[in-house]
Amino acid sequence: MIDLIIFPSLLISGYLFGQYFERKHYRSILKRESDTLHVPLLTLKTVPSELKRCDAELVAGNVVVSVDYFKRFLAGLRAIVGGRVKSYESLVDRARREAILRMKEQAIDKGAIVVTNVRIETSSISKGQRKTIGSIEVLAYGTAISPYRS
Amino acid sequence: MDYEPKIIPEGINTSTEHPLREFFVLVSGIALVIVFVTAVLALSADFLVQFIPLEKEQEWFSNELPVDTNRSEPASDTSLKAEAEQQLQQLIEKLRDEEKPEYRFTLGLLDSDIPNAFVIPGGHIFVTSGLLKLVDSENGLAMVLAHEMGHQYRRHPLRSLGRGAVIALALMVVSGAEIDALVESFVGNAAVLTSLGFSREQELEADLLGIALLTRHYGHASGSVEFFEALKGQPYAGSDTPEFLSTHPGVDERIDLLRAHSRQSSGDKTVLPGAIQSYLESIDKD
Repeated sequence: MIDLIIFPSLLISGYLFGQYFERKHYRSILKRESDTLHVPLLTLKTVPSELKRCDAELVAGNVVVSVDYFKRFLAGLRAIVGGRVKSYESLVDRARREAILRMKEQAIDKGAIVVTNVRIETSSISKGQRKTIGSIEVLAYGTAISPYRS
Repeated sequence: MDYEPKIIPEGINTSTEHPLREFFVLVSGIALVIVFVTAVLALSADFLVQFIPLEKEQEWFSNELPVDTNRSEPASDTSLKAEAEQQLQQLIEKLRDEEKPEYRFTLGLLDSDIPNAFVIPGGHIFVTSGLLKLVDSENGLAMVLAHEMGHQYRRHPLRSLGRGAVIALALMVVSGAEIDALVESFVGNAAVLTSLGFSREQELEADLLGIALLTRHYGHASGSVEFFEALKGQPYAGSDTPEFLSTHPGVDERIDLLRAHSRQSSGDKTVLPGAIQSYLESIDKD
């Protein structure tokens, strides 16, 4: 009986809070992405020749995002029938973009004009164990290139 | 090279489908499958019970009563209680279906204030003293006993046992699979709620059979709803549980069904046998 009250309330609160934070996060991501658009991100390993006489520095952005109750239940149902785990796709997308933004913002603070050799690493905190909180970690790092300060 | 800043369009890596839409499609689809599988399991267990001979059932669940009717300190005078039990046993013999002499019944009287009666495989009927207090006439009591006998004539106790066993087994298999704990409890609840539907169906079936036995013995169905009417005034366990979570249908629904199926609903009620009355008086004193 009590299960039938707790479970739906967790689902509903998971849905409401999860959706609220996701919308808020996406608004922030879109705004910051357009604000930082002037600094290009490159995946090239080598620094373009035009930028050879510049400062190079490591920049990194790291983020951990937790799954909400609703998303987790949805993904659990998905695991039975198969198909796109849409509820997790937005989570991964947000984590990836947020990590890149943090890295980029750090680079802009250092006066960078471009970030090269951008790489992304992803890991799962819960490692798929049962009854643990599912969350994703994304680390973005690259080489910030800024003009000589001297 | 020239750099031209561009915003990457949205919706490449994420879906624009509303999450609630996906939720309802998945939940209803999976629930449907669970209901179907549970129903198939329950019905096949039900079907197989008819191949278990009644003698086998009576042998497995012989006179060894699994419940000690005199547990802890006896709350009642044992000789009065034995007499009351005898009276109840005689009432059962009067009510029984003459065409089915192979069905055997035993009776146990339980000292408990909770009004309840049940039958377990082998035809062992149990009645609580709390139930005896709630009925005013022999007819009302006979309806309760006839209902439990109806369960046994349809072999419901054994069917329920079989159904419970296959569903428990199926859920054990599910819990062994690597699925999310949340989804597992969802699957378990859906299966249990489905099997409760079968339990409620059996209750209504036993009610109908009970009223037939009652009418056959007394010539009328007077008193058939006596116990249920009395139960409505009681804060009995589960009275506030919604029907879909309950093993029994709602009291009002049962009263309506009994009224609809009483062909001869008026008639003189018989008073409760003397031994039962003295037994009730003796436990009231404590």
